[in-house]
Amino acid sequence: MIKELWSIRNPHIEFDEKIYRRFKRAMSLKSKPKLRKSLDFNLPSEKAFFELSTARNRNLINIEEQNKLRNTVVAFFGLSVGSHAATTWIMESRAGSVKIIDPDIISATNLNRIRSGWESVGKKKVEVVQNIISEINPFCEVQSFQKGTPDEIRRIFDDYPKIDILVDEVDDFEAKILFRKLAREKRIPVVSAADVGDNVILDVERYDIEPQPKLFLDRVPNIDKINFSHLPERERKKLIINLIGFEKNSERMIDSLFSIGGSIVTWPQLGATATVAGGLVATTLKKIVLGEKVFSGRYYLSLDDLLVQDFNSLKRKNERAKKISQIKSLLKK
Amino acid sequence: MQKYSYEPWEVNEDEFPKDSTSIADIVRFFIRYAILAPSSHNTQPWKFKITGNIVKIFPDFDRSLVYSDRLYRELHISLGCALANYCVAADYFGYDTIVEYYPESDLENPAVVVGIHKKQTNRLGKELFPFVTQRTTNRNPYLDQKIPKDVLDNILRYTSSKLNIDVHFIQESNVKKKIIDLVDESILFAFNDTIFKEELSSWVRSNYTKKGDGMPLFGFGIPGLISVFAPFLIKNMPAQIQSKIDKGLLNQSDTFMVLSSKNDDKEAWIKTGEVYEYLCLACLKNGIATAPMAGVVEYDKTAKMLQAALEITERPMFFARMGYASQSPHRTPRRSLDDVLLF
Repeated sequence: MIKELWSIRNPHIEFDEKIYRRFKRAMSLKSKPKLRKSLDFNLPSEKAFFELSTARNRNLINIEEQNKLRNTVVAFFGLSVGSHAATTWIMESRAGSVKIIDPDIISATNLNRIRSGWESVGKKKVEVVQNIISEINPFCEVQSFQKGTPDEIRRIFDDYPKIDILVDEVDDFEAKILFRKLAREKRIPVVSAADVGDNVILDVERYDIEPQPKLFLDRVPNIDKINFSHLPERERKKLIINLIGFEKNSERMIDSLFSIGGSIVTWPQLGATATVAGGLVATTLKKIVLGEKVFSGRYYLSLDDLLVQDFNSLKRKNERAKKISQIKSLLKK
Repeated sequence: MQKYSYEPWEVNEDEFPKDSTSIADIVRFFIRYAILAPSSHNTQPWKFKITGNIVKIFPDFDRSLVYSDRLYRELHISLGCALANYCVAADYFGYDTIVEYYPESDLENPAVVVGIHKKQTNRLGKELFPFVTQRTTNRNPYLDQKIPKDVLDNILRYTSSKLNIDVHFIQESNVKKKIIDLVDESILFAFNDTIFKEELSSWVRSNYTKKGDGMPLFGFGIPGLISVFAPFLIKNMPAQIQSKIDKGLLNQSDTFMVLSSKNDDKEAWIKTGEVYEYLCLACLKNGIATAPMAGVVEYDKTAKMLQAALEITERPMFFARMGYASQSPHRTPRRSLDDVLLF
């Protein structure tokens, strides 16, 4: 690794044993940094870890930008898609601090979309994800939370280090509303991705730069006035569907909406899409932090559209339109 | 807010914040001199971050010459020039500087970290301070006048051997002739490259430019109206014509300066820039003009041949022509301090 370090610091110099030995000796005299997670080896400095693990980012992310990313604090609420987003974010940003929140344990049915094995079943999601993050970046301070109560959510916002961006991957409506109210008050952007079949729906709410009188991009008007504690299950499903929307869904995904509570327990999700969604969230975070023009709105990454030749054929469009119309009439009842 | 693009040159020593209780104000004041330093194509590829008595100098890769300086050697030399100006200013006002190059302990990865401490050092830098705001790169023809050896020896006093950069002043005609041929070869190589010329043309400016960077063509002796076509002129400059112009200028220069180093790494490049800037200011103190020409050291083939011509084992890092000049060009534009400070 010292050789690799020398190489990335001197990419223009052909390897020279004498020069390298001098470098190696100089590095051996440096006092080793303290790691949050111990490894079998150590390097001369935290800078060395940082340089090696970000060398391949150059110059897609330059040094100044990398420092900005490193100093950004993101809170990831919900660790299914959220686990992919958090770990991908850490991989690319090498952030020094992160907050992860999820009250759940890993169940066997999570294994299709959380990058973990059977030995993790029964373990707390925050523990598993914290472990992965610490292995990726042994200098990252991971603050993990498991209650998800309103008080805890407020503390996550207010306690040091203050969060710069929030990623919402939870199902709990009340929590989602509270995130946005606090984000609006503190002018923090909210990013949320839903994996829907083979497609990803990304919502960006820039409470930091644009006035946002309405939450959730106003997809569900007056959502914050709803009393969720007495909301029937059917109404909850209606809300989810209205929030996610029917646009760009495949026929099979739309069919699944009929099946929930019947042949299947809940909303189906796929591992590949969860992974893509995590990458999309991490990329969105990077672009927001680095000041690119990412504005509030809903964005679709439709792999069906991209890959499948006849996805937008008239026949398939009509089929989807028919199914959507059936669901809408069911929801009205 | 900066009123116009030459305003940074008007920094005055009377503005030194002697009554300020914040040392950061003093650091900020010294940076106003740092940004007057020369840089390749006047790209000013630097950013500064102030923390108390410390300034960190970062390379600004957005201002790098991605094609002609893909190692970032010239960029780092430019940082060294800025560092030298900073140290000269600090020394003048009674502050010692402690410099670290790419310190291992600094996660932000600055190229240089400079701390200042109040202390009268009596370093030679004090003598160079008045010339910081007068310095220009003089690309005009020089006079047919010899630079005496004792003057060159005097100029050499202003560099520190601690920087480990070797300085070679070449006056011997046989060696100069060889060097002229090498510089010529590097010019032909560069100006036969359309991408090089495209990149260069993006940094030349008309003489009426309002931009805070780049090279107005008055620095090349091109008058106002013609300079309006600056990028077009450069893009379409035939290599043979550029070669003829540069050969003429080299033949009229009494002395060549070559800086060389045992190491060819970022630290050596920064130190090369420091040494050049000290020498440049010292030359100015002695009425001598300088004009760097990077091609001969950036083109590997000619760099090796230059090394052989000088019979040295160290790699040449920097080349400039020197001489007495009858006219001094106008200074080049500068970006404002606020443009280069990181918060």
